[in-house]
Amino acid sequence: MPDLLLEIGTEELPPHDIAPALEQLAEGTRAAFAALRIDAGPLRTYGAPRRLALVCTGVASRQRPMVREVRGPAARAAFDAEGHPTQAAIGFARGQGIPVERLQTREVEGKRYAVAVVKEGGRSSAQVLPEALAAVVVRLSFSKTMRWGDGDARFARPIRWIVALLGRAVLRVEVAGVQAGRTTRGHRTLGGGPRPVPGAQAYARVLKSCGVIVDSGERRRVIVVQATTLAKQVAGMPVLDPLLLHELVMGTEHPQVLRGAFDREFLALPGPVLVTVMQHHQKYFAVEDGRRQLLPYFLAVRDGDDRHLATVRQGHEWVLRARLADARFFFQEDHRRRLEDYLPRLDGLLLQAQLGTMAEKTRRLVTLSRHVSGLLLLDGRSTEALLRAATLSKADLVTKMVGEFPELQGVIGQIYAELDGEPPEVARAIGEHYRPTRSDDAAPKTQVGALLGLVDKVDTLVGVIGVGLVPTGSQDPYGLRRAAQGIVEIIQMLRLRIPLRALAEAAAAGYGRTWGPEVIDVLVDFVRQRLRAVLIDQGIRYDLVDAALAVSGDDLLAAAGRAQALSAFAVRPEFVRLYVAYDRASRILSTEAAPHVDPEKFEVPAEHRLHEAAMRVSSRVRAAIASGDYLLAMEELMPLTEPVDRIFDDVLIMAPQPAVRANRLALLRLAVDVFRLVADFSKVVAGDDQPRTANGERHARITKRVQAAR
Amino acid sequence: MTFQDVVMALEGFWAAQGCVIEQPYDAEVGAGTMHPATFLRALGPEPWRVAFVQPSRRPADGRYGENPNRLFKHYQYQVVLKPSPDDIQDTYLRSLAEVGIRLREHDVRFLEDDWEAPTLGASGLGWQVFLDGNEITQFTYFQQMGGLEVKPVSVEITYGLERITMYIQRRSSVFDVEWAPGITYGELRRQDEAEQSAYGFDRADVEALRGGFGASEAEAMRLLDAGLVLPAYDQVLKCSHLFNLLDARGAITVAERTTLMARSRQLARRCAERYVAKREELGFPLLQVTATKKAGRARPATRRAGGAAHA
Repeated sequence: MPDLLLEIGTEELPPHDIAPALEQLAEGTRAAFAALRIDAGPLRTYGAPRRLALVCTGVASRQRPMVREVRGPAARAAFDAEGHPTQAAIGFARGQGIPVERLQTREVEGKRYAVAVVKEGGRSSAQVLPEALAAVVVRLSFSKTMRWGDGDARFARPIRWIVALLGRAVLRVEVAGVQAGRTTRGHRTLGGGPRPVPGAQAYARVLKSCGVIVDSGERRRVIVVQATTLAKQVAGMPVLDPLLLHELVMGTEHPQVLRGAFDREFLALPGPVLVTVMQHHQKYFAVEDGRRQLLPYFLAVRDGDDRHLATVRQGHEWVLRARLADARFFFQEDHRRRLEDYLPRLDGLLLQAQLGTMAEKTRRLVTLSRHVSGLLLLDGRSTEALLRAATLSKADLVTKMVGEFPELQGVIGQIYAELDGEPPEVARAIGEHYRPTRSDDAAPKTQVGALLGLVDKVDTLVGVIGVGLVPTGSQDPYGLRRAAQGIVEIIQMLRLRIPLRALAEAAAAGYGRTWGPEVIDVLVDFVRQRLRAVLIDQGIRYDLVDAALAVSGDDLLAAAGRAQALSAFAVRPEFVRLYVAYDRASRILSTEAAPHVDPEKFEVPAEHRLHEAAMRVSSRVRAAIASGDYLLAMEELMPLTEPVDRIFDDVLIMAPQPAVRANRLALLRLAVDVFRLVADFSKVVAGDDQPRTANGERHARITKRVQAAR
Repeated sequence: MTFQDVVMALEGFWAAQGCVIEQPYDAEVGAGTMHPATFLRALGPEPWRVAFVQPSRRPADGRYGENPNRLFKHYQYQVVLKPSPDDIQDTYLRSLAEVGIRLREHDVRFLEDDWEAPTLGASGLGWQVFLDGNEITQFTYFQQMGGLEVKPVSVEITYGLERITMYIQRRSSVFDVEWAPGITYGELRRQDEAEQSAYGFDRADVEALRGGFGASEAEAMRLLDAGLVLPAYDQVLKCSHLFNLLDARGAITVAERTTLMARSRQLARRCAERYVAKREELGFPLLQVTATKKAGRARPATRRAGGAAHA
């Protein structure tokens, strides 16, 4: 069976777009094979700046034939008494393209029908694949797309050539007006013109012969090995930042690492500044020694070979020297003043058009910090540190260094605060209050830093939601999801029993606007949704998460504790009894229930037993919850199950006398309320086939993948 | 190569690519994109190829001629090709050879860069081109101009002339770059840098500038209503420059910034719309030019619509 090769040749793609596009390409192609009934062997993808490619071995040359049965008219209408086909049968057979004598009969739901058994022969793969593959390519989605020339097609960058081969034959794929052929293009400087590809198996080899290492795994190895070797020669180790490494792997077609040096005197600059200049701005790896101190070297990755490296090195060193000289100038200029001397300039720095200035934000943060300190009963020293850190938190935004390197916000504040002799906890809090800054970043580690981060994020959320900029879809320009994520992590990390609603109200008051309570509702709901996603990501069933959230209000720590306990408890055999007892009791509840339980009206011992059990269990469960032990709380619920079962067995709840009935319903409501101290068990999906994905986030992810594959 | 050698080499190269060699616009602009030969000609269906030097004023970047890398006014070499040709990256790389950069000896990289100019309602996708770690060019496929989706798409190539010559001559200060044999960039430009910075940062009359902004804005509106697009656009450029001066002077408050930028964008959008309407009234003259005069020379346009026949 022949092999398939598809290569989409482009201008330089954004590095972060390549891996997701390859994933979609693979899934889309698999789905196309399935839909077209084409058997195929293993499939793999290749990505480089100028190409997205796919190789699939053992692709069937023809579609699998398909047999299907088409139901026609009822047998009585299709055949006369002698069994001869009627006009209806003849018409039906003609419509299905088979001779009338080939019609069969089948019984369907007790009635007999005429049935046509239609065999669809397979068309050749070469006929049906081009259109399907083109559709897969057209549907690739990217973070941003563009048009070019005078066409209407959209892609991450212009498509310039396509190679599509099935065996040795060209598949007539066409995308964006570009017709597929068998000619690829090599490396920009090492390649030397167009190059024919004989077949899929030769793909990687042909590209290597024209200067392209098309396997990204190999490019990664080349970079890591060369970088490590070059660093070792100067008794160092490369600082292989994973994002930068990925960017360079996906940003080069033939990586070649080279080592350059800079003046030792620049090592006097703060480490984060050096690393930022090298890593973010120049895309170099820094080099450090065994004690994790930076060395005056850098590792640049050239896209090319090892010829003329001296020229290239000289160029990179020249550029880096200018950059570092700039940074040193900013550092010296900034350091003429103390960090707090920059505060007045925050008046001129806009947070967001409708949200005022950074000076106003700073004032709000100080007020809110004081509020939080009161809520949490912080000691004097911590309170003082928090207020000082809040005061200085945004001052670095108007320094020259952050003006030049915005990604160093916070970090520079910390460094300058340390140089000013601010207390260490103040400096650290300034340094980490923006965290987490990426989805894989951690929350602040110190208490003061975490609390400052919390008030900063709540202030941002309230403000942005207040002016009506709630993120929709995947758009989130103000980073609200990350802020909410940060709030969730901080509350869990510090185990903060802090009412989110009250905190948000205090934050809203700081803006002095007349926002309605719905702003707070949206905020609380938004953060709860993030918590839900976090818990589901931790592997907790979505129904258990919902059961926990439903009774936790704005107490995020309690919600998380309940969900984790439920998840641990749900695998135990007794969980079913708990659930069944709750289910029986809650189903029968009605508005007929009396406002209070009156033991005087009890008629049988089962009622007394349940009442006593509910009172006793209630206080024990409350005690467990107060100590934050939700698993214990669940265990404490167990003694309530037997009395509940018993009462259903022994008495008729819906007694004919209204007063007795109302009292019994009140008693059951009391029991249900005790269960609900721990969770809303009605959200739990019972049975052996608990949905692990049903309508949870994972399901959404799968749906998305399926859509991408279509 | 001297600074002027680089300019002349690029002029020669792009003229040979069929570009009209335009001249710098005679109004203060912040970038070559604002030259009518870019901003307006990128609009509508008419094909267009142009190249020119554009002195670009950015008052806030002035450093009194004391910083080796920052300038009140720098020089861009601007190339615009519409529609963007299929082989434009290769053509651009060949232009580097014209200024003495042999690709095999260097590390040339196209690094993702999305461009946006909010006051012009303009955006595009493309790259910064790096030569041995040194940014030398902005390479952009326009997608929007004056708030209008552009079709066909123009490609804009903006060479940073100072960066390129500093690199070629290995000078660590722009003022040491040799402009012409025996005369440096500093000798030609430093006094202007010092005086313009002093003007922009210290002496500019804020009230006069502010008044000028309002006056130019009103004039632009009036001219647009009268159907005089190009004079109106000149007033838009004045507004933009006055805004930059006020900004450098530190005279724009936080609240003011947003509204002034929105007003600029609004004017740019109206100019763009009026320009396209006007060209349409004129029958899009450059469509005829390519159809007739250049018929022999022009390469057949590649059809990009789906299902187009392939020769």
